[in-house]
Amino acid sequence: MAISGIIVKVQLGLLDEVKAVLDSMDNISVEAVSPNKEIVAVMESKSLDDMKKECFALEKIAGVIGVYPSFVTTEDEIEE
Amino acid sequence: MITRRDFLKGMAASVALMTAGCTSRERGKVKTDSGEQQTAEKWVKGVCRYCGTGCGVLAGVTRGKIVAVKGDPECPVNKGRLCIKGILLPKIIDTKDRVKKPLIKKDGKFVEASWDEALNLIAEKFTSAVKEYGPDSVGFYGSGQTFAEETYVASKLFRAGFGTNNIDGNPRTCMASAVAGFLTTYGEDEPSGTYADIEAADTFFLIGSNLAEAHPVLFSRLVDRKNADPNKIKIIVADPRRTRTADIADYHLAFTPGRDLSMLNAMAYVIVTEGLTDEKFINEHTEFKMGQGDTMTYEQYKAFLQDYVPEKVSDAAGVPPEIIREIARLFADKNRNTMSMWCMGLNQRSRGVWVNNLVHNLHLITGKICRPGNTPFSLTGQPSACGSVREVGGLSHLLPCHRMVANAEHRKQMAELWRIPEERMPSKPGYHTLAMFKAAVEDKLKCLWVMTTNPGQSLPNLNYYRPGMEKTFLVVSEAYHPTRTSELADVVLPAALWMEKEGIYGNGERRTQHLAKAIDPPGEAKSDLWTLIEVTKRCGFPELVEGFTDDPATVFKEYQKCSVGTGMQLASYDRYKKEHGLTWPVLSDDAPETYIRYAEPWDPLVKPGEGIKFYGRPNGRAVIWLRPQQDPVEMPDKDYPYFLTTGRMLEHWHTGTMTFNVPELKSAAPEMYVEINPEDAAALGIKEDDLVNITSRRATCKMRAKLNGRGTPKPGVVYASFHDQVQERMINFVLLDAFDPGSKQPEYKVCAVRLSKA
Ligand code: SF4
Repeated sequence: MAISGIIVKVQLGLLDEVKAVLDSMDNISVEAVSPNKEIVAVMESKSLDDMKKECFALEKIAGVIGVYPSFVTTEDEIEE
Repeated sequence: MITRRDFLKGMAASVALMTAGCTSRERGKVKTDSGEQQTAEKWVKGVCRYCGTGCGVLAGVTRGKIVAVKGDPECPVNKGRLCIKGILLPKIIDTKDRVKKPLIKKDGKFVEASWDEALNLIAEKFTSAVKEYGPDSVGFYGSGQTFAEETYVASKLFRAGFGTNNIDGNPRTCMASAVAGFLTTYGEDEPSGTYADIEAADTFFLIGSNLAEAHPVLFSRLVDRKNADPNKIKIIVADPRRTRTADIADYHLAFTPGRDLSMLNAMAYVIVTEGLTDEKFINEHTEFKMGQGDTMTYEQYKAFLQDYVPEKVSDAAGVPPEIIREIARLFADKNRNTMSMWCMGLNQRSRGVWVNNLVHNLHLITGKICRPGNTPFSLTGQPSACGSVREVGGLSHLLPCHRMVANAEHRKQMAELWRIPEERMPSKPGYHTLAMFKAAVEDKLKCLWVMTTNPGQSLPNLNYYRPGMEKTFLVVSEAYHPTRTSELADVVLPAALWMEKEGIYGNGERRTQHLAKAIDPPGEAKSDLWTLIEVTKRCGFPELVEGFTDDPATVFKEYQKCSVGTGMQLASYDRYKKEHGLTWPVLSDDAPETYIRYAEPWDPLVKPGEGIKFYGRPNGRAVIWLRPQQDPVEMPDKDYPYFLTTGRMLEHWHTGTMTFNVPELKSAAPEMYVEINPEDAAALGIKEDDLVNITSRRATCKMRAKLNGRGTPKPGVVYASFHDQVQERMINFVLLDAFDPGSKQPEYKVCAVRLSKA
């Protein structure tokens, strides 16, 4: 299990649309919108590989400029 | 009751919220603190191992392994933010190809050896080569990824020990033109501003930089700035290829490769002829020069610019004249602050120094320098190309702390600091990178030590240089084996990697940062510092490393002394251990870091009342250079009709020894491809994902075509990333090894190729 805190940068004017897409995703919980109009979210993924794939998939959503992880833990992975 | 999983989710949320600058009220909503739970046994302060941004990283260690990573919220560079490569850093550590014991090639095969056997063999080979063929028969090729202390000891061993200046490193291939640009313009290396200028600038002029992929966290700061006031903040991106950086720009100037000298002179023409200059600044702080340094007048500069009327040069430069005029006005607008940023697109050129000078010119004629938000800023590609090579003197013409080999007074100072007779300091500049590897081909270089870099993959025109590496007695200090260089080695020394050792890095904004050791290296791997000290002793120079141990503080203490009285004075090791990086000069352990150089009230080397002083120049004046357009060495012709240009992609870094070891990054971008403009592809009958031959006068590579990928080059230009390790996709075989006559930096960015379906 990989748990990551991510910051999603969004094109101006498309914040609500992108937030709605993220809200609809099962493994993502949107925590807040920052003062810079970025979406702060937590993502749960099966593995780091999935986390990376999901980050890249997020970057393909219309209106997303970039995805910046600020924390990731793989604690569960090494316990396996 | 909070479960462990809830706790980890809470931690992730809370770090991200803090990083994004959310209020404590929002952070308070997150369930994190169960009182006893922790995400790791300890958190250790480090710096990212990849790009020159120099993001602060905290590594969470449990039971001797790094189990979590977060951006260091107290590091002013990234304030807690990281890019995808940075967050996956722990994955580079436990890989199958880590070298755990010294290896010696015997009868064409690598066999494990003891450290004693390997070190004695190296000492014997290097000392006997010096005895038989002279000091210039040995060399060292270092890296912007070593620690400062490591390059310092290498420099001392080769210069004061063997008596040669044959010590160079991969920063020659990425930023030597920026160094020469700063030196010829200001008399001092490295930028006058810092990243903090991003938050103070209104106009951004990015040229030869794909910030979004090569420096992602700086890109996020740029996007923040743009979003803070989207109508006011303007971004100009000059790049022959549409990139993700260009996607957020107000202007994308897809100039013809190599013709940016014309475009920059045309911008200067508009600024001068439309009265947009800062005449007071020009009069008080600048002078004009041409050629090797012949003094010119302002009037002669104005006459020189007559050849660069936008309407005259626009066809050749590939940018419409009205756009050149518009961006020149925006750049020079007296009510706006202007920051330029550039990277390899300007540096890796046969006229890299000139084109660097021309960007500085724009800032000098408009006075857009030495004030917050006004700065010409060169970005760097490696985590410590500045801190561990430019500053330490890890290039063949440099000595520690920006001293020059060619300067007798500087050699004398270093002889005193190193406590050796002055005549032991070699005065002849050593081989620059391509000359060093050419000397190996020509059998003049008998022994070469390569540390933390991979020239067997990263040099241009590899077919010419690889046989030389095979011929010479080659020592490779590396964390991984085999690499495209270690496969050619005679001895491979197992090196400790990121967070397995302690030391100092210096990023692209003059920020000196300390990395603590978090975990032990695997097997018998050792820090390169230990290895260098051992070899120095075994080569018969124990006096050079007296008092040095593998504790880098013992070496840094002497290095710090070398910085006293120079323009880049450093603080003590203890202070760096406590701080989250400091931008030099730092004149004492009580003194603050320096934001802006050459200007009151920021730079402590400018005396009260002096205002602005370019103290690196004898007369305190910066130089505005008359630099004409000169095309790249190899332009397209009927046989090779396309420009080829190369660069980085977000997921990978350099020759991929680290990032191809991270399964997540490897699967995201398993192989490099060639980007072709859809118009050109249609004319050639090439479709998406077709296998394409990219052929130059030197070699052919085969790559899949991408027609509308994350980047699109302009018609007539093709682009490929250089990270691939598979020989048929190693694009550097195709590249030209022409180099800038001043900086000796190779022209990676432009050569001519033809394309065909494979
Ligand atoms: S931006 Fe550069 S320094 Fe920062 S995390 Fe990414 S690769 Fe590392």
